[in-house]
Amino acid sequence: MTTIIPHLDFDVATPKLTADFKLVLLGESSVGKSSILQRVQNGTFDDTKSSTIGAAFVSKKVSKDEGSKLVNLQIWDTAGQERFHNLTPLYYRNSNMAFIVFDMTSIDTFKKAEYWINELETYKSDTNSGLILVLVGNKADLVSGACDFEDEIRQFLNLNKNISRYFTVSAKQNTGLVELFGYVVDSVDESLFHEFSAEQNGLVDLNITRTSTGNCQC
Amino acid sequence: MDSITIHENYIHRGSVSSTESTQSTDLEHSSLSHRKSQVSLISNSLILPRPPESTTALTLASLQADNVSIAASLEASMNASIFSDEDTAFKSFPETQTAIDLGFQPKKADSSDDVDEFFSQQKHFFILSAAGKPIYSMHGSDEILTVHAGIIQTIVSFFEFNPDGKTEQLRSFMAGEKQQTRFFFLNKSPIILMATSSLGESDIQLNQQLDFLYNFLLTILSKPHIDRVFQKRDNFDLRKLLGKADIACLDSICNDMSSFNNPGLVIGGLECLKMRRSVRRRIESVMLANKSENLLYGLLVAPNGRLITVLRPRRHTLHTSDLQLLFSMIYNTNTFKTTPIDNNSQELAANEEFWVPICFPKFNPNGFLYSFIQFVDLKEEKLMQLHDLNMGILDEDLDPDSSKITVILVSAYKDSFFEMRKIANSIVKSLKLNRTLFRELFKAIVGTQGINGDTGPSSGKVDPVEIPAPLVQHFVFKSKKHTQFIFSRLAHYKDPNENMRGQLMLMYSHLHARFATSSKTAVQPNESDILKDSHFINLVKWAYLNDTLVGLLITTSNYELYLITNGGIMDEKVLLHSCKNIIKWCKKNQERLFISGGAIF
Repeated sequence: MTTIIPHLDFDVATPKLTADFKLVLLGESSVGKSSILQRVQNGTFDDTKSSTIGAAFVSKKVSKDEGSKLVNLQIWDTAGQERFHNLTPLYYRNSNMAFIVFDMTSIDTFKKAEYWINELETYKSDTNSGLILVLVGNKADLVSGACDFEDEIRQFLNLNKNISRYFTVSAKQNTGLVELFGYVVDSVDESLFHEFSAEQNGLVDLNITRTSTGNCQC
Repeated sequence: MDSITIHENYIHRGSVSSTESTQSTDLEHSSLSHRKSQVSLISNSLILPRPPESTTALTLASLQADNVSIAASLEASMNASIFSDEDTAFKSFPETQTAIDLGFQPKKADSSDDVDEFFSQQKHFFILSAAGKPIYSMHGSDEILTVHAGIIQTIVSFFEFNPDGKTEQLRSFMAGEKQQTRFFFLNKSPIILMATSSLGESDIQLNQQLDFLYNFLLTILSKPHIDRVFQKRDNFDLRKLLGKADIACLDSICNDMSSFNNPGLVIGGLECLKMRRSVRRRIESVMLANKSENLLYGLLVAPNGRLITVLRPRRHTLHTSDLQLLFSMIYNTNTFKTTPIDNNSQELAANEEFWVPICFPKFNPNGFLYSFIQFVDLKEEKLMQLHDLNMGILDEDLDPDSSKITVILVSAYKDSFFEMRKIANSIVKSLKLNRTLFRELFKAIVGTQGINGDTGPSSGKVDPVEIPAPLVQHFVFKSKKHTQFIFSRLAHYKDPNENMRGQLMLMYSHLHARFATSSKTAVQPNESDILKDSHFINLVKWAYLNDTLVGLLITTSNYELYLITNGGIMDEKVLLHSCKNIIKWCKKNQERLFISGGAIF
């Protein structure tokens, strides 16, 4: 019998088709980018989470169409602080989708989101990239319904047709994230899928390696 | 209650002692408790006094000799018996030793606006700009910091410019009640740092601590970045550039330095994971086999920042303090931690990979390197099954980070993340699937295998009992050549917890402050490694409540041995024999204990 250990997740059934999908999270410091990711990744939330230094890379396998397709999400969680900004192009370059995250209790973080969207639009027109822009308002639990600058957001969305969708979520209370990541998986273009191969997905067949190291005397 | 006498046959040579007597008054300032404690200090005396009868008395005494044999009488504690030989000494240690307690409480950074609390702290760190703008303080609110930043800046600049046009730097002064508090300044214009301490540290030690804090600022910002913002505006607020993680890291570095919790910073060196040389070699060849063009340095690190090995180019070594800064950043904040689904506390995130720009000040203060960081948990069920490891340990309630190794790959190129990731993945895969290497790492880090399926203590640390070194509770052996040290367990397989580690290091810090740095001036070129009468032996005796501890430091040009004995009374022959045993053992096993060159390409 063959035991298969996937690189990250242990219980993915063998799908027929697979696709890599690159996602980047951008936005001002402390808006909750890492918290959104932690909620999706581990289902947990930390009030005391420190700011990200540099960037964190997460790969997450998600099955699509009743397990016949596997989406390998490759997610860059970037640091919001100013001093890391010169590195950010590294992360959104070649991405398929960008979340521009802001804190619904702080208009300053929304202004910063506008800044990021402008930068990404410049990048898109310069490179003809198909980058999908998604605006994400986090900490919805703190504003019960609509935030103070709802009008500005609506106005901004009307002006920027490049933004595909706007989601409000709460990483703390786990609301809106299923919809958000459902949209991510739905956005994976059919053309990105190719035939599944175990090796390319970092799967290791332990039975093979066992025989090769089996005669060690330790 | 009769005291016994130790006849020291070892002679303390050199000119050091003449200056020591003036320095020794520093120790008088190490009042460690707000309780009704009493400090008495005897220096250069032949006989140590018995501590006062009061149980709250705190006695700290130091002893050394001037070209004469030392005859020291060490106070017998109430309940200890005299050990006549090794065997009895060994057996006389109860299975459960009482915790080492010097009455020292770990210090914690705060941002309280309570001024009384602020002034009651025994240790402070301040960072401000040359213009007097506050940047950071260990204790106190922003308001308190703002006021003191102004005062510190005024004091520093008052000394800087003399009426005669010459400039000079204020280094340190003593002030406060009984002149017990040492103020130390480090002017790294445009940044000024100040520390105050009433914990008995020397100027050299406070200087090292401030230097470490300054270098941490360089690590996150780099020298040109700091210079640039202050060139643009003298009164720039550097706090704008610091994030929550940076402040958390400064707090935690200050906590460590105030609580003596980071042995590497006190002693000056890195700790290594003890393992067989052949195994380390094989790990090194795995790393070498996987390196690629843009990799500059590679590190494998066991829990608590213990190095497994280093991959490096022939031309460059990694500076100890650069690695200490990197480890402080990785292990001291929760930036690299997450809360897993079935747990309530944070642990190092094994399912993320990190790409972190870091300036290594000793390597190059002017630019950044990029570090790929990944945590790998050895306690992975399928791998343990595959390599026939004891599964019972999975049920034990251990710190989840105590089984994780860290892979760090450093590159000069900011866009080489995926290249580094590929290297890391193949190194990790090789380590996981190679039966010998995985089992050896598991044994050294997680635990050895007992015969009946139980889990023994990990083999990556040493217990004084194994050597054997009767009467020795704990020791630290530093090889000066390697700038690496080993930090033993407490006798009988116990890992000191944070509080106890602080107690031990407080004692070692006193020894280090008084002797380790000064002895360098009197080093003989061809000193043998085995104890001869030319070596320095220094004692600090510490009594707290009913507990009497004796700390001992032996230094030569090649090593420093710090050790602590517990119980108050001891047979000097047994103790000296133990010292020799430890030194011989460390010399004999140095290839297991220290990394000599690493994997060099």
